[in-house]
Amino acid sequence: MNACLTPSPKTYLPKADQWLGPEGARLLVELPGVSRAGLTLEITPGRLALTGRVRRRPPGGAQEEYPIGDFYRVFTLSPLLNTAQAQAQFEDGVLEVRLPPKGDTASCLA
Amino acid sequence: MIDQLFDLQAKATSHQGYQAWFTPQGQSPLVNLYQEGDQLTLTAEIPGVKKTDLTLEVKDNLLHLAGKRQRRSAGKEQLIHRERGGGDFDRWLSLPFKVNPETVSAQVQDGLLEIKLEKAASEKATSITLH
Repeated sequence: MNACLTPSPKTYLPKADQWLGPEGARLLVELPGVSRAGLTLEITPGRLALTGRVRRRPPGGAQEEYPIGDFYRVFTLSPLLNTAQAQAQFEDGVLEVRLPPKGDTASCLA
Repeated sequence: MIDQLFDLQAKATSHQGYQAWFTPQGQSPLVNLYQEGDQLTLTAEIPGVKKTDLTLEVKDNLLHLAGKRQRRSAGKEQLIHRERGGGDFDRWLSLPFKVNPETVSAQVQDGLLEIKLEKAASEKATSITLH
């Protein structure tokens, strides 16, 4: 009962850039404040979902220009991309995901 | 009309939408300021900015924050959708009191800058003993 009454913390959409080329697709996602341990990435054919848990706010009265909350976003992926060969790296709060093209579909992405 | 409503709702719950309403300059990093007694903690979102590309200066009650965002070369790739900001930034922030420059500490971790500042001794209240 209490769990139903407890408001869940807000989640926010992280900003992302999407690139496309003969070597496939590249996704750059900004996740400031998310540690490597706080990042969850799920890639299935046609879908990429990410969750980023941020540290809680420091103590004290606050003037905030940006909201504090976790990140969550789902990207729909082209069926031309090989999700089984996806590679990801995370540095300085920016996640980079590379998705190579499937077999003979590279020319379709160029 | 319905699409516009959904668009407004999406903006209201996204960092991007929040930024559009409250950011004084488009490319400047967003800053939060927390005050607890004589201590200030300032956090700024600077994803993708290297520690070596960041400049911090403090004088009295002013904090100068400047940095360079490095763009990766695109090669044969084509940008098909952009949401992230880019370019250099330069921002002066007015703090609620003069700070002691000797005790300022700063660290950058996971794209988040955190600066801890302490009120200058000249600004602190002095207790008076009653006789």
